[in-house]
Amino acid sequence: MADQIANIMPDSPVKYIDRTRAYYLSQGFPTPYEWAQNTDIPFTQTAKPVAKSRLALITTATPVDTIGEKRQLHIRATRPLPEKMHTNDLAWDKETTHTDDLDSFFPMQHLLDMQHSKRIGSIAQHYYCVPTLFSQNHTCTVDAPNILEGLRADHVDIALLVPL
Amino acid sequence: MCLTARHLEANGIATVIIGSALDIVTHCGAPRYLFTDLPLGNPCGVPYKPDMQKDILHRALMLYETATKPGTVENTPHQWPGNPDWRATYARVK
Repeated sequence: MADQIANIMPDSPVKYIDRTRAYYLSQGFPTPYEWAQNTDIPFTQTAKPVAKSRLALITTATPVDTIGEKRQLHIRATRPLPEKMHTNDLAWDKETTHTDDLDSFFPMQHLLDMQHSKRIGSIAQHYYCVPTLFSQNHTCTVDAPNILEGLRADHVDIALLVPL
Repeated sequence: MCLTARHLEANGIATVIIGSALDIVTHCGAPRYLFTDLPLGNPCGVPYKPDMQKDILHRALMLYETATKPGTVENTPHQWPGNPDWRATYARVK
């Protein structure tokens, strides 16, 4: 179905939920993953401009190779910048593109440049690596509260989240 | 990632998600979302295209200041410069 839609509307956004369900069904997994769905959306109005705010970067990439291991939350110092972030165990379009350029998915260098040019008030001392887990409950009750605690300790005002 | 954004937002930290899976992120109910219509893997712009990457970040930063309601979604004008059939090939059932 998803490929049929792509053929009809080649420039429309990919329907990843349909595509993923069709793929896993074809691989013999009849029970589809239930993507989180919410109609109520929490919202915090920013209290000050970005140029006066402290920003933290949150990614789904990891600072260590986790292939074959249980994925977990990592909180790492922003400086020195990591030379590499691991992405191979994540679902992304490995047929079309690559992740050799950190700035294409982990834009810390650009953010630090924006701090230098005063577009951003400051960058938090740590960045956060969120594991993409099957268990939404674990994300909501363990990882997200731990990230919140870290952000508060870092005096963060705004968070930029970049899933691959 | 969207679930994390929702938790932070509910606890007083404003968030912006930059991502390329429009249906997944909007399905989950993201507070602020900058959609980049690029292959999964490069949500912040095409590799080694720093001008595009910086423009995407500027647009994301604007969202903190301009969004006035939950569920705000913005697009970028940037397109994938490579294989035009990339949308059809991801996780295709052969």
